[in-house]
Amino acid sequence: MIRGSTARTRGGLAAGCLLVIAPLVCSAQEEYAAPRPAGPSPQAIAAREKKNAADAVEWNKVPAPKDPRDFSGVWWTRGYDRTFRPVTDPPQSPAQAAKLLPLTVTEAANRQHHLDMEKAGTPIADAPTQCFPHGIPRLIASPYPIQYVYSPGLITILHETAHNVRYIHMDGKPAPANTPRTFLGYSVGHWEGNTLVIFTDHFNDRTQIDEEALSHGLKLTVTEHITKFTNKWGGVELRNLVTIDDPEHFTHPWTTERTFPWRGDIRISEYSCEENNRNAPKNGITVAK
Amino acid sequence: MKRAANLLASLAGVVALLAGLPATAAAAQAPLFEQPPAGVPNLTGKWAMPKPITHLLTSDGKEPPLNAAGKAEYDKRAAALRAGDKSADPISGCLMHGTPRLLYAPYPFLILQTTRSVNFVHEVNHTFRIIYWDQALPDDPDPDYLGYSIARFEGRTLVINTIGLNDKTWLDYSGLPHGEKLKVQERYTLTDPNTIEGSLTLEDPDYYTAPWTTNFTLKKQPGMQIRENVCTDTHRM
Repeated sequence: MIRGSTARTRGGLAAGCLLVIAPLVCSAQEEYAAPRPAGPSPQAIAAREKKNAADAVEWNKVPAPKDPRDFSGVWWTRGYDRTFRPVTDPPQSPAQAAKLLPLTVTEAANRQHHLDMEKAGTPIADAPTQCFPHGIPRLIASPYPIQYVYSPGLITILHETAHNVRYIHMDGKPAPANTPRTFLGYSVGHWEGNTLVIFTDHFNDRTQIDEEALSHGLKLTVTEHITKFTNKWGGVELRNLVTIDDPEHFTHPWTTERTFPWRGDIRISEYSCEENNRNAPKNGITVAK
Repeated sequence: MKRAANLLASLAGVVALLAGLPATAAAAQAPLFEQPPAGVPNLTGKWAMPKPITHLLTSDGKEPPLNAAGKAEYDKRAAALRAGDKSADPISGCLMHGTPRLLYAPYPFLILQTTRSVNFVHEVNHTFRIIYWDQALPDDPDPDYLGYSIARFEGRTLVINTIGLNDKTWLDYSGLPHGEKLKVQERYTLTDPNTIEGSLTLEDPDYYTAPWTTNFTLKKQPGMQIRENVCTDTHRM
């Protein structure tokens, strides 16, 4: 898989260098103390390395399943990035990568409108502010833990955030006739080697691509390639390469990425969006956030 | 769309391929799932209550043993419902049904039994419970809608004990009340591959004079599709 090997390269670069700095700059740093772009100090990098190593030990106390195709258990992405940006090699900052988004004229205007409304303090309400399911791929960015559950012909993904539930149909059958359009769409999955490939369509058009500003329409399809790997600290992670295709909003399909460290140390908590929803929108505008 | 079309074509190819393969080869392609140890029933499947229950009765068909406080609260709710006012019902505001009312929602649900946990994933407002095979309940968990549950098998019966429930939910559609001291024991016995005979034992000194038990039957629904159900959308809050 070309995309998989690209991602591994990314991992190597991130390991030896900072995520946002090109490899050339990194190697140059070792030879002379020239001015360098602002970024974490060597001490900060060392501290992060130490923390990642300690986290891996803690999170592995209950170990991840050994089988490369068994994802059952709890995973939790690090931090939160509210934007989806194309995967690039070498990696680029979100602002730089945003320039590579293959926006159609329509979507460029949509996106600018979202950004302007947010800047004006009147962000356009998206699905989760109304306690609707987040939509795919929006849900994949959620900074809350998830649990995979395997059963015959089905993989169920339980999301802590707003109790979203995804059903990945593994029985080899396409979506039944008259499948309704929904927030989370209809997902079918299969294995390509040890990579779980999920194709989702039958979306409604009431969710956003990401929290920031990207929209989609009824023609959206999303293809995920999810692979388990061991990181350099001995921790286990899932890498999800998410390919987004909607010809009305993007001039060509593009691929973004999230990783999900194994979290043997935690369980999914109850999450009620519906109780005291302070973000509830009025007239399509989120009044409090 | 070309990419999608290609992918669909390749998916169709996989389907055709699997359909043409002998069962053993197809099984090798299938995703992994765990089978319980020999002798332990497997409750995994889609289930629903064939006869919806809106008002819980005790196993011998009697009214639950409400105490004075329980009767007062129940009568108040019942009067409002009779007058057509459902606003006091927590689910009318899309709050979670809670444990144990979730079982009585007239929607199918999945039981997904794994070695890690037994999971109840309900169609209604996409609500799920993840229940671990823990040995003991915590002393004083923070109350919430679904509570803190632990599961074990007693012989061939799945037994789930729950505490840590808030008092914001009703026990049933008729408004039977409960407080935060509620303890629930659910028992699920597979009596044939398509039938679970179940019971709930409810203990709540705030609203009832004694613990009481109510029974239910679940039937497997293999052909039923679990749909996306979104309360805040359908209710237009």
